[in-house]
Amino acid sequence: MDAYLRYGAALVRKAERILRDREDARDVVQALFVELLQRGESAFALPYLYRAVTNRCLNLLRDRSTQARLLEHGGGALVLPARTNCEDLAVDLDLLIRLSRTLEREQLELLVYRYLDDLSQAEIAEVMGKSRRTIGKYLAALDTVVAQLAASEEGAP
Amino acid sequence: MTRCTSQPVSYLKLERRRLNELALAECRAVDAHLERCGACSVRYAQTAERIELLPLPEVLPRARAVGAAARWGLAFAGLALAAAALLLVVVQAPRPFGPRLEPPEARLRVRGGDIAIELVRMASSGELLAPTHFAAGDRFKARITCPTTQRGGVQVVVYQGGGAFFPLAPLALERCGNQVSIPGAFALEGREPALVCAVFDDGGTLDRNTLSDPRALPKRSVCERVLPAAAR
Repeated sequence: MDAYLRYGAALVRKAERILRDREDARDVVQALFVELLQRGESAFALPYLYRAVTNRCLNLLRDRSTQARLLEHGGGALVLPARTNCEDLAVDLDLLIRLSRTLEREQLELLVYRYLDDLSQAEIAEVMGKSRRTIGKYLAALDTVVAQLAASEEGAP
Repeated sequence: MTRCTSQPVSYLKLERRRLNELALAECRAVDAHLERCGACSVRYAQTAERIELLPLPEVLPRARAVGAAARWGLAFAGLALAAAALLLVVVQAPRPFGPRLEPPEARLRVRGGDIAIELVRMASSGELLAPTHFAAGDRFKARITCPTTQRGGVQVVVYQGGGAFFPLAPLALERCGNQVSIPGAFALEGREPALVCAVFDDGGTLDRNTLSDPRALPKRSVCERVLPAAAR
């Protein structure tokens, strides 16, 4: 499948940013294309595949047995690569897993695009198929929730 | 890592730049940013990494197709396959086998032996389910257990509806052990039970033709039976 060869590496890198595990990332991407093949689909744009991979990774993160395994794999190196964004809020795997228990599905997806992929508002709108205005509202709400959760985690004993 | 002094270029945009999928103006804007931003340049360099992808299954058991063109294509392919299979029957005249026939040599659900296969079943929602059954959208991973001294390779074969499928690439065993994951995943469809087997070779090459009949599996094979969810 051409799309697999063309976009596979980009999608593995994307999945790895969430899962912090190369093997799991390769697995997620392969599974996605197996399903697409079975559905007889072959023409895709990268933003569409980005979203499909994101959702598959989040499904994995929500599974408690997977959470334990990923954290174990990550060992002490759970922190994601330092964000270069000026706002500089780092979301590590541990926090992401905790947020996966708290946030709504769509909020969690938004969080990945915003804090792990550094997508702009326009890009998030494109990937999620919503208006920029809607995404702007979502982001404002998300930033508040994440800041509160991160602060409460820091304050916890 | 140095910091980006403005809004960083997203990973998506960097990947699209690498793939030459951006419009010219956008492409120039990204290039201009990369020239002055060390942090984003590092990210961009990462998009050049070659990553070995897991192979897609060569044969998808019971693959579905959508659309009339795809259905016609499958019909023609099916006719061609049927003709080829008929030719094979005439030439080789293998013994008939079906899903109800057990491979005499392969062991089912080996526990305590020196080789074992374990299936992991994940629903499309990500939920882990009992691997005794399969349903649409499920994907399976195979884990094998074998002695650390085991060498050679292992091949996963799925027998279903009278056919043999090879959904995963053969794995060369450099060091075996407990619950070694075979790279890749596969799906099961259809209404017939499936027999998922791991066939070990001790250094020789596994010939797929000799694995087409589950009753002729090598002794060092181990299988799990998986039933369609409707048969629960």
